[in-house]
Amino acid sequence: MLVLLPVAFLIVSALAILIIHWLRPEFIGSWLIAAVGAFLSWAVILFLRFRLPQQISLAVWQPVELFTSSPALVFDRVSWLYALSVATLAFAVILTATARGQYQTNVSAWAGSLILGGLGLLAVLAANPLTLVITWAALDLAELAIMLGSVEGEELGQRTVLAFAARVTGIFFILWAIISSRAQGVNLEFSSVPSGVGFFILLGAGLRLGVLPLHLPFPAEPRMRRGLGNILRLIPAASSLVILARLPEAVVPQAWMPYVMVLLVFTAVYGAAMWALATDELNGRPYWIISLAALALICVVRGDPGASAAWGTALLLSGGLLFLYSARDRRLGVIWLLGVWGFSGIPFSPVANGWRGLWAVPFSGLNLVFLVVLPLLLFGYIKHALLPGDPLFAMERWIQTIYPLGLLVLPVTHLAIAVSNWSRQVDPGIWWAGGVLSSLLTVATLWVWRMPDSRVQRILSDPSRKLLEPVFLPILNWITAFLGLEWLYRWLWAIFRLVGKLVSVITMVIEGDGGVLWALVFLALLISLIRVGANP
Amino acid sequence: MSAPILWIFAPLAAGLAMLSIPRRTHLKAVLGTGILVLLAWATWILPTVDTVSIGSLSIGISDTLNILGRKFILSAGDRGLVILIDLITAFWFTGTLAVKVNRMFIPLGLGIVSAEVAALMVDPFLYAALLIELAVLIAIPILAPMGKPIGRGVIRFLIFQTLALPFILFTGWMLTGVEAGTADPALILRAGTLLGLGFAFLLAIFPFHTWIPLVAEENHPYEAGFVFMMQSTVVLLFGVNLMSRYSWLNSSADVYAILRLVGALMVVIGGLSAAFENHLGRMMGYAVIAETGFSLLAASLGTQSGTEIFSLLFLPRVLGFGVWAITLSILRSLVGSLHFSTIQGAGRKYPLVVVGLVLAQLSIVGLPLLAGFPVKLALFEALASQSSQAALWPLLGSAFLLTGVLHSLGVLTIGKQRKFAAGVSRMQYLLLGAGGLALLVIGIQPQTVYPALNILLSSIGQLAH
Repeated sequence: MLVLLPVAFLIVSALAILIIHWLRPEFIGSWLIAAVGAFLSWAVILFLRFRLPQQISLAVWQPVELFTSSPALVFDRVSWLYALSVATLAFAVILTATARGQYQTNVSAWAGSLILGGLGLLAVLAANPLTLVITWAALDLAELAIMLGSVEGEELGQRTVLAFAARVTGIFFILWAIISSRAQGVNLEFSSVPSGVGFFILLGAGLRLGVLPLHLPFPAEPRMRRGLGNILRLIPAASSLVILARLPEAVVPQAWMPYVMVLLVFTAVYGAAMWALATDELNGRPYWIISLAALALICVVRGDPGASAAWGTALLLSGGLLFLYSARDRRLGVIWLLGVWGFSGIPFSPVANGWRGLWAVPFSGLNLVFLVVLPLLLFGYIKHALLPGDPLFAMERWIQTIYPLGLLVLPVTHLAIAVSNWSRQVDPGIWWAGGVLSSLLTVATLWVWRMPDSRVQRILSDPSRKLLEPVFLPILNWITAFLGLEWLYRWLWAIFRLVGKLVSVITMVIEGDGGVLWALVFLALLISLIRVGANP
Repeated sequence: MSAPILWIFAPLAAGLAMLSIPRRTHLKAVLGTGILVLLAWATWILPTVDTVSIGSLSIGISDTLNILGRKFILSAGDRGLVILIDLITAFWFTGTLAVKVNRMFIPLGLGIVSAEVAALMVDPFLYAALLIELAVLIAIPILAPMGKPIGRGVIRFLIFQTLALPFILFTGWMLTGVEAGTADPALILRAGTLLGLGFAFLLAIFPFHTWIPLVAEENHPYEAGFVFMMQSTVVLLFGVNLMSRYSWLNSSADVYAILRLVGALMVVIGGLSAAFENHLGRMMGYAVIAETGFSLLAASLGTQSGTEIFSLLFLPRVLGFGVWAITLSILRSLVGSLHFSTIQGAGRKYPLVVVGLVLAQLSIVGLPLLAGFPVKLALFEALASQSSQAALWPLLGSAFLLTGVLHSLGVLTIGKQRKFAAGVSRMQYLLLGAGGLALLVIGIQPQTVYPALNILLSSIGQLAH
């Protein structure tokens, strides 16, 4: 039952603050309850590292002859990484909420973050595809309710429903994977994925990474974009990333490999470039996710699913740190530099192992591309981190203490993950790739760090425009429009209306006054077709 | 005393007595629900063949009732079916505490129960068609109350259901030869074709499905939903029992192939039509068509597990359509119509009602987490184990239905945030909350109800080929 404790802490504290707020709106201890709940959840998961693996059956679906699988959770090496990342995110969101409190104290946003955190934990702990689709659906419905409760206007509402549709389509792909496995006589488990089925799982996970459609409709207020918005973006991604690390090695048919690789590499480069060019980290967030998720997917396609976890946790923890970094102070530079280190690929850093999944031996041209992707991501990260934010020194003293702690918990956890994997992490990875990047990183950081504030900001906001804009921006804008899928929606809508008209004409005919006769005509037609089919 | 008297005539008598109560629909709902729950309980515990002694009085109970040379037999195995019919009706009667219905709804509903229970007990079996027709006739005043014009849907409902009657009775006459073992293949083919046509009319199989969306559009959604559920449940049970009875039917691979084709066709047509629908009531009607298709697909498996899936499909279906119909009734009473042009943005004003609606719709689609999912997944897997193509089409049909649900969700949530509007009663919230919770609990913990339901419905005819 220990496995369920972290989830229970998050959900119970969320329900508690909601009920208390409903009964006594003036109650001021809600934040504390949320923080304690999130901390306990985080601490229990940390402790569970010493009790791996653990599996718990949530129910035994009966009649057993009909239900080949039942919901179960597992705490193993992979799920622990992601569970800790999710719990850390929830904890950090609550702690850093203090600095966003100037906009509005919002109990429902905290409760929403905790509930999504709890459901996200269930999703990353899913022991089999059945549990995964159930927890995904729970996460999607909760997200849909939160989003529809907070967005206004026709277009934003439609985008929310479209995002939900994309996620549910992902669920349908997993269902198809389960069904096709059954067609081959196999009960689908993460450990036994029949040939040709893994690709559907990959598609389902890809659709749910939260990048399609590219721009989710968050209101402009910081409360939503930074806190709950962060959870809404990153936790669904975590719930998809976790299955990548569980997939077998040869998940994509050999014949499709080159095409899938080209698509993924293109996505990674595009995402990194857009991240570097974004005006701030929140506008760049979808590109951060798309780029790092592409790197994780490349690891899977290249036959090293285990390495994908390195990029996945970097996406959540290093990304989460920057996205929660709303109140800024030069003294906090150490914290975000730890975040940079977290995904830098420097030997012995948390993603040093991630290189193993990207690098092809013998050397190929694609390897060079990855040497472009990571510096772009690093550049964008540092650029966004140096942008001005809310002044931390103007806030109350307790906030000046709690808020940095909230940020610090993310890189510290990332470090804990690296240490926990120490047996593998001692391997410096592909040392020279890491070396190139670490040199680039060191030079760039020192160069930036030694400059006065005004020049730093000017230069960091300028080079992207001066050097990249004239050449790359039109191309990237075209790609953005392409990946924004507006064109696809227009086409789909046109097809939908066309087929709709056809269906309505048929409906009008068979439901009209001559409907009974038409029914008989259709029947005669159907019988003749069946007869022809039976005796061609 | 014959046991069938109690289960056939008690609801009928109660219904007739309630006709004398002029209004007070809540009282009728409570009484009707109570009577049916009591009957279901009595069916479960009382023996069908026994001698009961009360003091010096000894009453012999027989499981057979003879009327005009026909027998009504309540065998021990059939008790589960009677309990199912009673409980489904009791469930729908409970819903009338939250929605305003025709004052004849409860009394006539009890009459329908009588006719349908009798249909499941009658021997020779094919006379069930007459009793089903009787149930249809009793349902007409529910759908077309006195003093109100009769819609096209109701007329077509009556036409198609009545057209089924001669086909099935004629088949009965032909089957006497088949049962005697003297039939030639040509006769079997003719009998099978006529029987198929009869069931096509009864089950609203394409192209005889048009009355369902019409009735759903023109009538009160709750009353329409009740008629759809009762009709489809009894006809499906009748059909499967019929198949299990005649070996020339249940041993023919062609019959199963046709069932699979027709089932897939209904799921796809129901889903596709729902995807392009602009009326929430009609959308529910198309979902009913798709659900009937799922039952046919389960029957087409022709295995023990297929029969079990067929039985288990009833629970999520009744629950899902119950919640769906309640929410539609509430919305219709609040905004006047269920057309998309009228209900735009209703979700902003009545969010909890729309949450109930969406949960019910998604449960019928078979979304994980909700009641419809476990059995649908079992069905898809069972179909896939025979052929992956067989599972692909119904999954596609579900995806179409999901498109319709998302389309309606988009329409319902258009607009700016508004304050919650008044107009939804506590009883309505209570029933919606209970319904939503039940959808979630059965979706996550199906083992809490399905084993019991499986035992209850173990008497459904076994199909094997």
